[in-house]
Amino acid sequence: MDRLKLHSGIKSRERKRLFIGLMFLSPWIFGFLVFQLYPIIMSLYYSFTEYNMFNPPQWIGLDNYNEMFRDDKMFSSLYNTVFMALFGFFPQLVYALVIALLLNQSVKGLSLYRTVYFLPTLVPAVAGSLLWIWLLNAQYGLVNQMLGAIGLPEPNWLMDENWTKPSLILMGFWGTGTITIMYLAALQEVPKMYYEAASIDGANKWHKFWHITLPAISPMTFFQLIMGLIGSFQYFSQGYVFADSSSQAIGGPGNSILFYAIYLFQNAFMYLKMGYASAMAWILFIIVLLLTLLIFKSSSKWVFYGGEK
Amino acid sequence: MNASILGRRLLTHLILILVGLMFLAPFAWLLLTTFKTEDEIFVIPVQWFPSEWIWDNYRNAVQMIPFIKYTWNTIVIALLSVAGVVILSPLVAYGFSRIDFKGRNVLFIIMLSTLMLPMQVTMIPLYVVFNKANLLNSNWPLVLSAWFGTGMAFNVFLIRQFFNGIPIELTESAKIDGASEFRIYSQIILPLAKPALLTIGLFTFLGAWGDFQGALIYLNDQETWTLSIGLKQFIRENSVAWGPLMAAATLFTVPIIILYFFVQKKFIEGITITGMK
Amino acid sequence: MKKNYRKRSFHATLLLVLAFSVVLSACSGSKEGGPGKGGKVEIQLWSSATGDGAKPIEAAIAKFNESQDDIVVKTLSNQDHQKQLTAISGGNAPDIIITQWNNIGPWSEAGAVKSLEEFIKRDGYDTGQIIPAALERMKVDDEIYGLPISMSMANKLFYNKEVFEEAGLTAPPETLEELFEYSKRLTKKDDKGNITQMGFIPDYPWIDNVFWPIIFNGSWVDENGKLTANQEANVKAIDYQMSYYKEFGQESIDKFKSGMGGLQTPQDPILTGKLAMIIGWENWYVDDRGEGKDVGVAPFPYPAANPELKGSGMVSPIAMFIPSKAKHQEEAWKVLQYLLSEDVQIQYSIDFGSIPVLTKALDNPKLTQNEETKVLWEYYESAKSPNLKGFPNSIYINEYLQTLNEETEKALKGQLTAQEAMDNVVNKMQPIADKYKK
Repeated sequence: MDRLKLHSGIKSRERKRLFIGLMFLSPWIFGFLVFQLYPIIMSLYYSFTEYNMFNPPQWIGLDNYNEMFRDDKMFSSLYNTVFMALFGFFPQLVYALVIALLLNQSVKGLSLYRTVYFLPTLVPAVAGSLLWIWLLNAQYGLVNQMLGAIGLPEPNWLMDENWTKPSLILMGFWGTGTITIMYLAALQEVPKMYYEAASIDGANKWHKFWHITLPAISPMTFFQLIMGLIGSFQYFSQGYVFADSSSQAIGGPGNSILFYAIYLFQNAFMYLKMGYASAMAWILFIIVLLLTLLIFKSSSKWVFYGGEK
Repeated sequence: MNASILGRRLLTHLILILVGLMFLAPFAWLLLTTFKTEDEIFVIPVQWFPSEWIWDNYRNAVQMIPFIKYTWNTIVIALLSVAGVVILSPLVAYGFSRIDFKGRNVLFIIMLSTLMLPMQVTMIPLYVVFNKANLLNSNWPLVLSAWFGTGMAFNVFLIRQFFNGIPIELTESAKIDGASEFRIYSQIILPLAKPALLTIGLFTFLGAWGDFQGALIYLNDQETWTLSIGLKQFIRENSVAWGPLMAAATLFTVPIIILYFFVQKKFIEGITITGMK
Repeated sequence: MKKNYRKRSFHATLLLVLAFSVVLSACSGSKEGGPGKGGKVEIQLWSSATGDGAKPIEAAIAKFNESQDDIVVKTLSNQDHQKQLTAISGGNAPDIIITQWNNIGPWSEAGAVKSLEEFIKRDGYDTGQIIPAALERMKVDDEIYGLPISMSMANKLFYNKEVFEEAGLTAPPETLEELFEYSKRLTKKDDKGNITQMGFIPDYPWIDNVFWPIIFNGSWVDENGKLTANQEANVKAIDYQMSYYKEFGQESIDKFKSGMGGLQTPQDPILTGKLAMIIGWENWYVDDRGEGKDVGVAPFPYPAANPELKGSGMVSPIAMFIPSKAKHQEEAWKVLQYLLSEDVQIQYSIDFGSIPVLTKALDNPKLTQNEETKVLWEYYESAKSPNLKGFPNSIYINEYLQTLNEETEKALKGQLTAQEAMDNVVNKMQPIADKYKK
């Protein structure tokens, strides 16, 4: 066969694959073009304008972006957000995995356990946060009673600005049910034969976990990392409810739980600075996108897909 | 030998029960609160059990808001959302996972990046889109957002991870036999992904069930309101009907607990199928 | 087989797309507004009230709908701030909005609120009948953008009578200095030094940046647009609050605060006597105050050096306005006037437990001799006081209030002096204020 023909054969096969691929993707492409593209472009446009949501936007070039660098509150909200991502999300991820491993064992009454472990995720936030506010009550709360009993200091969780973020992190452990069940679903998919083969080779539990389970669920860990990253940077609801109920002010004591998304919301809907809020959103977008690409780049080293082998 | 297995089992149960109690606490507290009088709800330190069990809160809860109507509205939105999501998302995920074409990764990153822009800045333009399409004051902005909105990116990504984990050998032979991609998708891959589909179905249901802001923004008629808006009706500017609120919150939560209980049972069925193949 | 594939997947997709379009076209929302049944104009009223709080307005509107044949008003409650904003901005504005007064400032400057000046002039509407402090909140740059529907007021001191008796106090404090002395006498500690009962906490239940400066005759902006939050009176107001923290200790107060029950719950600190005194709003402790009840009511104390400030208080009305994009502005204006007629105001005040916004209604026997409204009698009377004030409405009002809040918090925590804190506020806010100056 001559080269040209071969080449065009590859080309046509490639084109066919592209066509099939796009066919499968068509629901997303449709949704993206109809529902998402316009809002995305508009928010980018707003970020270069002064826009109060009622009058037509006024073009001001990069002013919003310049102003961000002079905005101390923006930086402290970014700090609070990164703090939560580092000390909140990562421990919670490990914790969710441990619970999922526990729940993946074949013990009696598993259905019941699984339901119980998912319960806090289902309880409406109003009820959940009320209970927490009592549990963390400085004088009478269960947490401080326990700490006091073993002679540890009893912090004023809700009012001391050094302890509000840890309070939120503590609350977060309760809401890890969704991550747990996703891990659980991933664990179900690990082929049993791998373990059997390893057992024959005399591998111990730790070995099996490290060399079989962890790599086998690495696609899920990859997913959790990226979604967790995106979610952490947009951390909003819990912080908002918590600040409102503990100190009746957005941002909580000393603005210690003023998170990036909350500050953004404040700018947009309370100060009517939608242009500035959009600029904040796009900076956030760039930060998260870069971190995501980094995780993607690294993923070939630690994520193992059965489908690609 | 037997004793050590028994011991280990007991230990597992012990840990599961202890941690489980911690997880049970918020719901147990919610449930117990609904039987208390207003006086007892707020006792400091927390009093777990009511000294006298009362049912009034439940009666008030269903009388203060049109509970059945709101429940029905919520169910309709949630089911429509789930139906679209479980049909559409795996299709897209398959395209991203198992068909190798040019530009796939770029498109994938674009899809993910739609998740990275905070909704606060896209909310108003999106509202304009639905307004222009003449869809305000109907369920469709909520349902369509569930199908095609940022939820789709989440669902597609999750399922893609599952599809990526399915060994290539499983589909290779079908391909050699000349089966079309759609056939491979619908007859081999999809049945394998049941746990994943259940997962996204469940999350979509939960999302629709609990969505407050979206429902409030798009539903302009009290007749069409959902339960989560209804819950807010118990919270007034400077007083809260705590007893009925907690009772309503319990009624709001119990159906999803039951739903979850059955869905997670299906996870186990999912394994046996995987094991057979 | 291969061709087969293509057809199939193509069909599947086609079907899907088709299904979407059917769904989209078949289920488009029912549009409201425009001429309704029988030639009546249907207009939309959105209010931010929730649950039972929405009933008084619904009742008033039902009466309006019965009273005439041209307009049908549909009310929708529970429409929060964000929803209102999104809908107006997204081109689906209702005809009337009822909301917190401080939204009028930013929204009107942004062009979302219809100025009422034109209507008022044309119809010769008498705005003089409205309580000045309430009307003042509706003005932005001296133009009226909305009308108040009801008034809320903080100008009293509530106290637990039993705690007073125990401490041998027979009359409530008259001046701020006495308030402080009382607080010392009413504060108790256990043997470990923990506070178990307190007289008064100036920033409970929240830091109030408006109430306290008003008590000291402070202000926030002068007629030239210069911000005045750092003038002497405002600084004094913060110094006064700080004196409590100096006397009783930051940590002790915080710890005590966290152990108090929730406000307006059965464990309420005033009702349980943990806290002896609190700033008094007309809609708090409605069932527990007055003669023969647990909670006593007194005028809020004034600075001993300034007896002319007696009767000072903060006014916070609920506002009604017409969005500038509303489709039925004439009709909406009629509804606003109806809601401000004397009979409607009186009934609304009774239903809502609020203070009417019409000066003449304050003396109407249907209110002042109505046993049902007895707890409000003192409020009706004091609503006539010339010393009632509120925060000036402006586009930057929310940012100004937030900044005041943050800096006051720092001062109360002892991180800054009152003067430093207020200087910070002015330095930060003056450029923003200048930017919007006309």
